[in-house]
Amino acid sequence: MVSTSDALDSLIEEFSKLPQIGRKTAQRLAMYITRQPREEVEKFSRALLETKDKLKFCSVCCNITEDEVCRICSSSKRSSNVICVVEEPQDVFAVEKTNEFKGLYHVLHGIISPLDGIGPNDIKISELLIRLGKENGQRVEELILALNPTVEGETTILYLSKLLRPLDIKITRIARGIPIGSDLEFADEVTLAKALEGRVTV
Amino acid sequence: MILKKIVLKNFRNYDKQELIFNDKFNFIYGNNGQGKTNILEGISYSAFGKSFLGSAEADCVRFGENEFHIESEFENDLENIDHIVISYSLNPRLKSIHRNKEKVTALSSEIFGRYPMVYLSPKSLSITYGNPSDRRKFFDILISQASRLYLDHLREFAKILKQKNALLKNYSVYKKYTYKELRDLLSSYNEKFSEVSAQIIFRRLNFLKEFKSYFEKNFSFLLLQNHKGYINYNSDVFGEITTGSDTADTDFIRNKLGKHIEETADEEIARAITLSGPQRDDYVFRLNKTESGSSREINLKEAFEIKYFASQGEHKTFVVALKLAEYDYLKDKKSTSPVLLLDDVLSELDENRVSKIISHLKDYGQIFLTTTGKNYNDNLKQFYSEEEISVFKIDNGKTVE
Repeated sequence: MVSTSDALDSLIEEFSKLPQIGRKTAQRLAMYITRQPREEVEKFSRALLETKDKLKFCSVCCNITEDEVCRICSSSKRSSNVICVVEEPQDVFAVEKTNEFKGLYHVLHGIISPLDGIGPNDIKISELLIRLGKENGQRVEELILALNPTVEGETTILYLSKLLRPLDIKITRIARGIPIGSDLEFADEVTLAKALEGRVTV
Repeated sequence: MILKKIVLKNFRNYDKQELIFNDKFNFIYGNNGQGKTNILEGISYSAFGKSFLGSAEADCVRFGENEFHIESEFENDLENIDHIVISYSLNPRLKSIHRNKEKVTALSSEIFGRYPMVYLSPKSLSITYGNPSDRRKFFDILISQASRLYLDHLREFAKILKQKNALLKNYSVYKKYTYKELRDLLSSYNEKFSEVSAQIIFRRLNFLKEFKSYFEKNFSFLLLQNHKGYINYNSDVFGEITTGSDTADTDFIRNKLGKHIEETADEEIARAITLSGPQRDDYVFRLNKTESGSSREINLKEAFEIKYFASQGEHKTFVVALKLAEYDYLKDKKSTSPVLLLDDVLSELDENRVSKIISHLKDYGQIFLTTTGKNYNDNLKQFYSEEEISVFKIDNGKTVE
């Protein structure tokens, strides 16, 4: 293949490094950029750099934010006695969309997985411990572990619950089971078995 | 279940070959190395999404080509046709499965177990001759075909085992954690490990309990003498468990295994590997030849272990009985006759046993039989009419008749 522009080549190369983007999509995106007016491209590249420069971790919950303390943690409308522990910032978006949770979050930025070389010190567990140990402010009464029901999520839940047990805080995990609006017959066996296990009295 | 047809493209030594099969009997013959087994392997891809011989996909691509395709049509008892396409390309390495034109994402729920199939070949003898892993594999595939939950548990278990071994290795080789961190993490993994292990062991024991009658029926069918075969389960935590004895519940297994793992944790850490669990368990085949012992419960010691003491003939009887029991069991579980693949069994497995099967062929559904000689065809004529037999002569990756 003979290339006609090194600049274009390197742009395609960069695009194809993005998750879910293959070679062909990368080419299409790069060609789209070449056809845009200069201002648009400037705006785009500025947005990229600003995200990188301005974003940092909230000093309380470790979510990504531009401020020292993120908008959720500094809001007076949120109750600080319940903390929902999630794996990634996008999980915060997911829970926020429900509009049902009024407590605070803690973002671990990963999950314990020895295979990937990720241990307890590689994710924000020590930050959580410090946060729970702090005497100022309201006491935390409940910790909700909203981790994914994967092998890694499950074992991280077990590890955290052992670690936090001495703190005398109520520790819960989100329920597993049948999606709302779906039929039992479409549920896979493991989900159905877990749903049976976690049945509740009506 | 009936396999109506298969199209092999660039698969093994096939360039492009379409085969339309008979609903009853398919007689495939040809000299060695012409591609008889390759057809059966192609069939196994359609039913399981992988080769029953355990070959890598890359090895199945015809020499010099980049990808293979296998198209097949299964017809169920309600005469609905399922169209399955398996494609694999070497560069980029990509495998895709389509069922009725829709891409299959979850192999376990959409393909595996849907088209029950039993494969008997001389290689099946590894079930009694071979390693514990051969036996676990045989039973795992069998139980998984009948229970998706079991298959899902196996997968989850494989992940936990990998993670746990990585954890032990990260500590002993790379010193990634302090000893306390390791113990805390290890106990979390062990808790999950025991939970899933208990599910697997419980299901294996329950399966054996159910499978027992299927096996005994076929075993006595193949044997003239009043011998009895037994299948027991052996694990280093529970010892040898006689099939049919009251099965412990999952909580019992979980607690006992969990306790054992806690007690042996130091050794696991020192050796940096998981030492006990269903991945190490074994099935023990025993044969009782004392004629009088047929009615009373026998002492384990009276029945000798096939693996160490059986003659070649006894090995073969055991394996054929296991396979026929697999057939009957799947037939009941799936409420449809599995497809029976008999690969080169006439020459390698004792002909008396095989002819016993042949004489009962009418009890089985669709059959594929490969052999080197054409002669056997004549024997079949007493059981099948002309229309019920299709004959395929294979010559160097082509059918010539």
